[in-house]
Amino acid sequence: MNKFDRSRRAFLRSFSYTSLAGMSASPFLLRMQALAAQTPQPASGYRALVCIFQGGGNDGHNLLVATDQTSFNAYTQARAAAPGLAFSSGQLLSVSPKTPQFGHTFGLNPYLSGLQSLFENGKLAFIANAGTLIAPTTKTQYNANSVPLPLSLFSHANQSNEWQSIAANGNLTDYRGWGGSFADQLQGQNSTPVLTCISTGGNALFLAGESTTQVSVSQNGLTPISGLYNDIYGQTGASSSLASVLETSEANLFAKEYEAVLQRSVKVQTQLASAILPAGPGGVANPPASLDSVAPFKAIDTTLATSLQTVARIIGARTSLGMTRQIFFVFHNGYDTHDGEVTTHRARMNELNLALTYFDQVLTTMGLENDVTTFTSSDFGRTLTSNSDGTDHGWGNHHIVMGGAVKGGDIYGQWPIIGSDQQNDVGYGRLIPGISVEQYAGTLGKWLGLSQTQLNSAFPNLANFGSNPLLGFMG
Amino acid sequence: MYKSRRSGYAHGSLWLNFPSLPVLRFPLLLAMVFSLASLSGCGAGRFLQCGASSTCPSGITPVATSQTIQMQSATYSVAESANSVVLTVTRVGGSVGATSVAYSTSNSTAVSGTAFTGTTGTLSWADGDGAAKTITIAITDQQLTQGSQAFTVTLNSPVGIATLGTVSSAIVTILDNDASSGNSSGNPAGFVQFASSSYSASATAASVALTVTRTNGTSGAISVQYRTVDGTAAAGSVYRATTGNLNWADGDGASKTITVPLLAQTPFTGTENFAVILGDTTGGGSLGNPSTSVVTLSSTNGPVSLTIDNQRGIRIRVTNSSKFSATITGAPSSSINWTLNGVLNGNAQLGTITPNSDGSITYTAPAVVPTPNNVLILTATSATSPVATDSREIVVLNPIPTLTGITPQTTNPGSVTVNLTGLNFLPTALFYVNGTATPVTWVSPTQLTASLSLNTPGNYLLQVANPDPGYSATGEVDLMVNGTPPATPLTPQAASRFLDQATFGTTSGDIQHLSNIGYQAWLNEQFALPNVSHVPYIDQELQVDVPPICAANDVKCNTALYQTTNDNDGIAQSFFIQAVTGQDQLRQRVAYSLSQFLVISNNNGSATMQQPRGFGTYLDVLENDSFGNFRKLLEDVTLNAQMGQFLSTLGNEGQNAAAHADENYAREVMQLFTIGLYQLNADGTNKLDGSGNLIPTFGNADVEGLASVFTGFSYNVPAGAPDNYTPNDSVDWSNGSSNVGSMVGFELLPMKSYASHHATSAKSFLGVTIPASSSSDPNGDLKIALDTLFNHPNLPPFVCKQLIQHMVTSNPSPAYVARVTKVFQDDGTGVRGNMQAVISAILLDPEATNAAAAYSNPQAGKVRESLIRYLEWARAFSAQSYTGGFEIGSPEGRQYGLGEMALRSPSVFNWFQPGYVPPNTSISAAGLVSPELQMTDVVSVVGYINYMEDAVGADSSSFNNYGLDVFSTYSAELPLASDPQKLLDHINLLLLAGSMSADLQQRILTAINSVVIPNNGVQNDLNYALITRVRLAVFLTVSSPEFAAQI
Repeated sequence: MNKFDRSRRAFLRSFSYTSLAGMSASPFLLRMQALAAQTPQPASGYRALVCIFQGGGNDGHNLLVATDQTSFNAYTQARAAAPGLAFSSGQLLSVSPKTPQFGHTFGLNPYLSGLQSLFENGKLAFIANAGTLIAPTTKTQYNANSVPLPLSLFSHANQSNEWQSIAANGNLTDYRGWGGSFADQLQGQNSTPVLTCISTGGNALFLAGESTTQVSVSQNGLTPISGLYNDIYGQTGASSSLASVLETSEANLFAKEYEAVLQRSVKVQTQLASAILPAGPGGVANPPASLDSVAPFKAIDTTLATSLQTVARIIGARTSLGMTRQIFFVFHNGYDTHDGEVTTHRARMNELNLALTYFDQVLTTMGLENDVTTFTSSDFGRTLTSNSDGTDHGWGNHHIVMGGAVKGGDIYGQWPIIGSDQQNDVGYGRLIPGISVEQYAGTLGKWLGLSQTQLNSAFPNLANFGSNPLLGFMG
Repeated sequence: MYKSRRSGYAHGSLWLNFPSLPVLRFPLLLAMVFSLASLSGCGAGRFLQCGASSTCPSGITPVATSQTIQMQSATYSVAESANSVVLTVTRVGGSVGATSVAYSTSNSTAVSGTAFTGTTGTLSWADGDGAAKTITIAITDQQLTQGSQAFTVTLNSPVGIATLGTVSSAIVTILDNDASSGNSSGNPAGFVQFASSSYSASATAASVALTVTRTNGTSGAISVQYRTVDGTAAAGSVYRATTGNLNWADGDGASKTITVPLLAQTPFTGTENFAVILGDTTGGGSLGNPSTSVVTLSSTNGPVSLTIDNQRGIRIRVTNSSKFSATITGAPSSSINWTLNGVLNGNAQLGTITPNSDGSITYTAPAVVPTPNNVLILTATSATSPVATDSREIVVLNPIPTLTGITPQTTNPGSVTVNLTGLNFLPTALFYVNGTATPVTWVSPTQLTASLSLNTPGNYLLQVANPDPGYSATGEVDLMVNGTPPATPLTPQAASRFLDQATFGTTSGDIQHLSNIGYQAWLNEQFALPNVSHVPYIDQELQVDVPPICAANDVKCNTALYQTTNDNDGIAQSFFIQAVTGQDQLRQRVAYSLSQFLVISNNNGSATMQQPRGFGTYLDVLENDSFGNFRKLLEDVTLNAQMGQFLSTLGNEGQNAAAHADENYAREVMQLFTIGLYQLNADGTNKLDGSGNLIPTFGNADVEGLASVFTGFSYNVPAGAPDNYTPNDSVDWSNGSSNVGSMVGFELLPMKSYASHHATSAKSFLGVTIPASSSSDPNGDLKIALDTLFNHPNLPPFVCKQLIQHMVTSNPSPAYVARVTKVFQDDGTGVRGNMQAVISAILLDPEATNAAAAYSNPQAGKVRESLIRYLEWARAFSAQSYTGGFEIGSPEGRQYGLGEMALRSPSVFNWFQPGYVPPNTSISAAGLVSPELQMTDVVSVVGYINYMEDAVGADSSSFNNYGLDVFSTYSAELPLASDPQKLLDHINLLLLAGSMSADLQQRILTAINSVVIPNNGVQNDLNYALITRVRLAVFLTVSSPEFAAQI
């Protein structure tokens, strides 16, 4: 296999198409079956991954700040043109990683006090400077274009796709995500495979697999089509007509695939409706109300927390649905802070703090804190320098992993040196990542139960990152 | 369980129309409405609010009400030694109807049983009871130094007319009275906190004083910092920013005072607020609670005040009625005088006011729209304190006309006088024959006559409309001219299919007209129709929606109204009014397509919501330039002030050495608006390098270079009225940076350049370099940049392919794209970017018009957007608006709704992207894309069907019963309903251009036939059966997967 494999997915896809077109055993399927046969029987018990995607590109430079004098001066200076964008050292919440980071000291975003506690309690870790990469990349190589680079760096659509998909080649028409790829390998262990991949944020590339089809849910789980269960305009017999209309055989591909979504909805709704835990008393507690600590003291939006509540309610149905492995996608939008960043980013951090703190409590109550791992992903990081009211699109970024199985209280990956013209700065503090998405994802996949062979299959560029490319953040 | 929720409900409105059915159902209906509300907990504000963030069960239509119940304050604090805390719950927006709400406590840091007594209960209000209620919770005095603790009290499960307001929970902080020791003596230094978490003052007072207390210890000298923070009030105009320290000596337990000077710089109405916060302490003192206090300033601080409970004014059609009520505080026994334009209790011309037993009044609109001004001011005034007064705007609209029949129904070729009978015809009524305006003579409100010269045999569709204000058209009625119709250029099926691609939906008259005149003549007619601006409607909607009503010269009031309102109803209503009833359908469909890749959004919370009128200018730009040149469109989009705000060109500083230029617009104008990421061939396919890789069109250096061009642009603040403002560059520029200004009108104008804020450094992008210059030339640089983009070889295929995808097919052949690209490059007269030529090339291309080829190719066509499916329904069946405002609200809810709304996408990437491949489908297997499937999932498909069941089933009573404003009477379909096949053929032609499969037809016919036509001679039973057949047939068609595809 080509070491720098950009076209592998197109290759795989061409085989999967033929299999869909009627070939009974394509090379791809045979290989997948062979891999599945090698899969060790899963350990008993349940495990789930929850991906929180920070839509728009979270400003990681303001998530976790290096507070040693050199770093902090560079940080303060780069952001000086935007009032309030650089936190003062008094505002930041002190966090001390177990593993020293070459003399750096750290302060956490002041609105993440709950995460500070989780970090101190060993249930939360930070991943430093992760991002889309095909192979390890230096600034010299970047400038000389002598190493394959992800396509369309700094573009929202492409980079959010690359973060979610299984190889960093940036083609917008790629349609397999690493969550979906994990599920392809693991869904056979579930009694209700159709509920292996669940999104609370609409169709997500992250959950798109070769054989797995994701299911979206809303805050109520899934709403039924009323007319299938009730009279329509007073006609009690019309339900069967509606049912028959919704399953008319269609030749046109667009009508046909729309109908497929409808039919999946009808099927899945029934399965989920009877199993999902209620919200509130007797089920999963509702998220708490809280106020922003800064004037005008608005209530903190709990949409993200409510999405995680829905995830917990579905996880609570794991026994009755016979689920042992699940992968969730939760979308948290509003991070594209070109302007007005101080206010906007504070709101996002407040929401994240409330939601993660709440979710940890919920899982702990359910006795699942060691079985569910929650992590962040995002389009990209942002510039360190300000544009006087916000920041622009960057590349490498800092991320959060939370859960009882996480070896918390630490920072994984090498902390980047920041400041003008540093070795990993490709302009305005856009960082060349030190860790690839595949290393980050692979570490999570291994915990979820994928074998090394399966990981190598899912992540074609993983081998580019050394003989032991996985990170050590999962216990 | 779903059964019980809906039985007797879905068809409830029908019982009102067909009273021969059991009378007992009516009270049952009302009972159901109440129980539905309690089951659903559904957020029912002015509009349907069952969006993604609320919890409306399927098919439940919320009751239209503006009443809410909420906590008076989101925070309370109580001393640990107090025995209890009392929270106040208020009922806002009226007192009509009974309602109740449950409440419960939940632990935060304070634990029930230890720190407080966990409590649940219910608060109930009777009909007419507008009083506040209280919740009392017992507090335990713990003999521990536990620090301040908090718990939460939450309101939930509202029952009846009201819904939960924004403050549905409150946090109660229990202040520890066992303070820790803070000094060497070992005695406690104590806590410092405000004596109250809120202060109020008259805005005309010189200052406001806040008290800070020291409690639980006085040992040692301590100090605390304080400072003011803007709320709605801004420092410098309403109050003076104040910071300082308060100091206590050892043993000093006295209260201290913070004095904040008030400024009478800018007058305002209503109330404004700011906060004072306590900061760091010294000497071991601790910060107690509250450490923040909110100061509310009232513009009028009289002892008596009066508020009209209805939060907004209304649009109302003649002779309809609406209830209002008002609340007086300070002099509750006073009676209230209601006037219309100053006339006590109104009169026959303005409409009348009659009192109700519950203290409210009913306004009944007059029989004819008042002239010269149909906008009335309804004012409530305290009889004893005339200074206490409040007003709402009432917009009176023309009635909805009905066309019940014509004579003759058939005639021979030649001249004929047609009698049109119906209801509510105005002397100014409009008359259409096949969609073309035709003179008509008014005889009476129930009769019109028209002399027509109809020489050509065939079918003519007649339609009557009452004009603005409140334009409303009837259904279409057939007039048959005997003889053999001549061959028309187009079949009805071809015409209908073309209209699917070119408009927001097909009508019978449009089919007839287009098939008579052919594509090119129809396009020419459409190109000639003028554009209708959205801004005037939004302007009026704001006046109705957001009291107080502003006087024209009240700058402060108008600034608040136009620039901080966050009210995006006006643009939504204007969009729907024009989409459903407008004649300029091609312009609107093209502009809508453009709006999906030249994206701007006012989705909830975005900064663009702050300037609703300004936001309307963006849709105006797209519509104005749809039929012009793309170069002008690109410039108008770039300089539009709301685009400037959305993608942050506005106030982009180019001369700050410590910062780089904002790259937002520079990137997206290339990536999304003009040239895309990868080099394209003229046929829209990707160019590949020697290794088979995509070739980027630009790199980040191009973004950085172009970003410098888009610096130095900000609001263009108009001189003169209403604020007699003299433009001042230094002030106006910074207004741009801070989004919201204090002058009126700048949000409507394109941005202007500010040379001193434009970068003068060298700017390199896309192979062009603007050299560094000692003089700043923002407009010259902008021209170079836009010309470069416009002349880029990628632009024609990039733009043309997306327009094709939005209008015709998701996967156009390369040859089709190439043909349109060629026209974009040169319209035949040497002009590049001629939009009329491009639109014609798209719609007249054989790949668009060849129906047989499309129907036989399973890969042809596209998924029809859910919003367009809704509009197709509304246009096909002449949907009408009860209020005249097409108050559809927020249809973007996925759980119950269309899952999308024009100009409200979540980001600049629209609701879906042009290259989306749905995974694991026959579409992906075929190597095709289906952009619209990106927003289609197992949630949205259900939300659409449930939403359409209610929309299709609505009638003229649905607004008052369920808040459903848009409905069809199906007047053209009812006469067909006794013949199921005829009915279905008609629906099939309108919605599916006659392409419905035999299989689907059979399934729908089964449903139609299952509704038996009674022969008991009871007209109402017959009517009920007929309309049920129509609604079922329409609902099943719009629910079908076949209708989800536009082929």
